[in-house]
Amino acid sequence: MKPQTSGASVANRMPVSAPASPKLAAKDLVLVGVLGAVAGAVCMVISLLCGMSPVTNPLYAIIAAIPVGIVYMLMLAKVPKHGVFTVAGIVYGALFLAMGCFWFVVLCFVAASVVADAVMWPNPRSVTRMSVAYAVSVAGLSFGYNGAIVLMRDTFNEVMVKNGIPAEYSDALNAFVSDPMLAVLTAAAFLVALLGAYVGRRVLKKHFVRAGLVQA
Amino acid sequence: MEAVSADADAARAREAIERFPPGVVGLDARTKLLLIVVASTVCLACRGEVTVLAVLAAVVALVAAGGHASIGLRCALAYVVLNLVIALTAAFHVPGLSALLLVLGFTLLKFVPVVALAWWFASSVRTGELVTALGRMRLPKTVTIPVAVMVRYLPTLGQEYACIRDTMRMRGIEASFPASLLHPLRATEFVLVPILMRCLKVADELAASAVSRGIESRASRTSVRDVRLRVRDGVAAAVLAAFVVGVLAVDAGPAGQVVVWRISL
Repeated sequence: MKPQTSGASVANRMPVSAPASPKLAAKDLVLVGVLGAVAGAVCMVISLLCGMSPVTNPLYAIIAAIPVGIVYMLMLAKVPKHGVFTVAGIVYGALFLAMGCFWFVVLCFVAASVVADAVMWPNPRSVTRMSVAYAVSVAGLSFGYNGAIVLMRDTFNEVMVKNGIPAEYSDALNAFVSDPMLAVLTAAAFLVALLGAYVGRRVLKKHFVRAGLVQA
Repeated sequence: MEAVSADADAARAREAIERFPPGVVGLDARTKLLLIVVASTVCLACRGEVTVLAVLAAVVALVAAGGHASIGLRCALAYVVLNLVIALTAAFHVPGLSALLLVLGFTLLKFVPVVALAWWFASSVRTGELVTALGRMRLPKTVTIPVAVMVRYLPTLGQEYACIRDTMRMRGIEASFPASLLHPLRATEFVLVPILMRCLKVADELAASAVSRGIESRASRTSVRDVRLRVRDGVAAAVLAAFVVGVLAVDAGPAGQVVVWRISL
């Protein structure tokens, strides 16, 4: 690879950018930030689309899992180091918070990201570990997102009583925000995130490895 | 001669950055974050429509005092429009869906004030200020660097997307919204892959630029603008605490039971 600009050659000469180094270098942190902007924009678009109807709203974390999977797989391939998930979790969590997301969601996501890091710890280059760790973090996000809705169950019922909604509707709605539904949505998020990681790896192989931007 | 005027320009620019705006506009980034977190908790906790309206009014006033009156007005408008949409859906009596929309819609409406605050935060806090404030919170550079980069890069993504859409059109690929809905995976790949390619390049360049400016230095970061918690931040926190106590008290009382806007199925 020939150095195109002086900037690129400075980046190549950075002593801390050696792949074996387990510590996160400034270069890695910048990449996490840039990819975070992309992931944040993708999440924003999808949450706007999902927010159009309340029925699709709980599915937001699940739908976002596939495109964000591509972003995460790229990040993990470029930065196979300890602590990436935690840093990404905190940074993306801060973005969610500033976008007006409820703090319970952010808390769940950050906690799940720490667990994901633990999954990655023994071997940050293992594809299986990457996929499972990503699925854990998405499941945490989905749990927090829908858990917040379950927390609001009392509010639901109050709105229903105040507006005189018939019992058959309120029963259906309570089933919709029930505890088992939360488990189902979390498990679904986990599975779809595994699929997202698979899609992400395929896209990575198809485009980035072939272009020589990422080592397989 | 020229050097002197350049120096004077630099001094003037420095002064403009250094000067802290008076009043609500100059609230610290940390105070604004606190406002968002507390507001979302209050909006979740309170039940009465009157209280949500009170919170919305307070937020609109605060955002207007913070120099972004249009944000507050737009969010107030969104509140009204959403109410109308819910009412219209209820009027059509779609079985099941109307009830679902009514209940979930009313619940989501409660978060309109939080959206207004978040919008205000995003449009009023400068990146450098945010990073300094986060640093003062003892957050390590591992967190502040990605946050700074993210906030800086997010607004340029729109331009990147416009370029990619133009290129797609040039090559005869339909990039419209309905076409993307027909093939969501393909559309994702076509848009996301070029953006990510660009990201890798931008990240390299930004990292080189940041490292050459000493981002890896052990010395603590300084800021031209004096970022610290001022008296007004203390006042804001006190007013916030009083407001929260008041709103929750009103919410628990008879006013919390008042139904302002009633839609029956």
